[in-house]
Amino acid sequence: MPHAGPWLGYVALASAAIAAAILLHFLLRKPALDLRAKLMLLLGLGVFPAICAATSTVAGMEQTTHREFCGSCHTMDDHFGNATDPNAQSLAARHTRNPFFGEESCYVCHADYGMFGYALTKLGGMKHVYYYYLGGYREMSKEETKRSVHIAKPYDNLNCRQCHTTTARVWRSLPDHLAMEDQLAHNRVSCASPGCHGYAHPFSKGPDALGAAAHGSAAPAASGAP
Amino acid sequence: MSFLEGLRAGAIRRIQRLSVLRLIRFSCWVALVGLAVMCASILYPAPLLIIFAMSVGQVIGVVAVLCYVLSVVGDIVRGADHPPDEPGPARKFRAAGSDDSASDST
Repeated sequence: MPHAGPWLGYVALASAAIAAAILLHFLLRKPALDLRAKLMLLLGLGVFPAICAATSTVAGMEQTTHREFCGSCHTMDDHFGNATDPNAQSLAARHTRNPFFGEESCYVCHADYGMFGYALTKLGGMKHVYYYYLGGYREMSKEETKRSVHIAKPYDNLNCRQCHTTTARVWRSLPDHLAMEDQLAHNRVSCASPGCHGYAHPFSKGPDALGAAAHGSAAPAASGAP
Repeated sequence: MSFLEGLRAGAIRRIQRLSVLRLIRFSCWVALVGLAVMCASILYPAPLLIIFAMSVGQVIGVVAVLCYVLSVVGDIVRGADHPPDEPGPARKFRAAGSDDSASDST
């Protein structure tokens, strides 16, 4: 579904414009309801709105993968700011600067993989919307959200391993990787731990975590929070 | 007459009273609202608007199409001798209906 491109939005808008023109012509000009008018109404009420509905749904789903969309809630302001900061060195910022992640860096890292990954990720996103509008997050200050908002479930190392294969020679040449291979495979240690690759969003972990990350503490993050 | 039969008869009477043209005009206005919602979700992709467009917006569109389908069915049932902007059944059905109603009332 991602990378569908902006053209879908244009198709949806064009279909809607054609359908609206047909409908308005019928409503305002009031032509006789002959076969031609009926066929035009079939186009204006059936065919073009169906095209508009289908393409706007895909375009809407596409929009939900964009970083700006994720950052549109104030609870994500800091995450968005850090990820797009050209001088930031957090995992999130470095990955965002990678062209592969591009404008969809939040989605690429946080999407579940597998056959139903896209649908499951979007269902998870609906929970975020619920928490924001009905769960009280909307009224929270940014300081409160730093304390209250956490990742819903421990970050799966599989998401990192989609790109960073654990079978490459470079990966296996590091003794730490080999020593913790089993723990990494079973998510008992997160790749994004202080002492390993560091938190993805270190500013959200508080000053202690920042210090630990900066000094390269070897304590593994059993919670797996990036 | 049971409650369900009464409900069914009432629904049929209501549909017969509907003007095909009015139903089509209604479906046009409903479709315009649905299209506006879908376009808004593309032009202003805010979370609530996108969710609204992908749920309520599509339901609005489906309602518009169903109204149009209903009008087509009504048009077919009433036949070619019935002007689309007049409520009620076609002339031949009106004649038959008046006999029925006469016998019903007695």
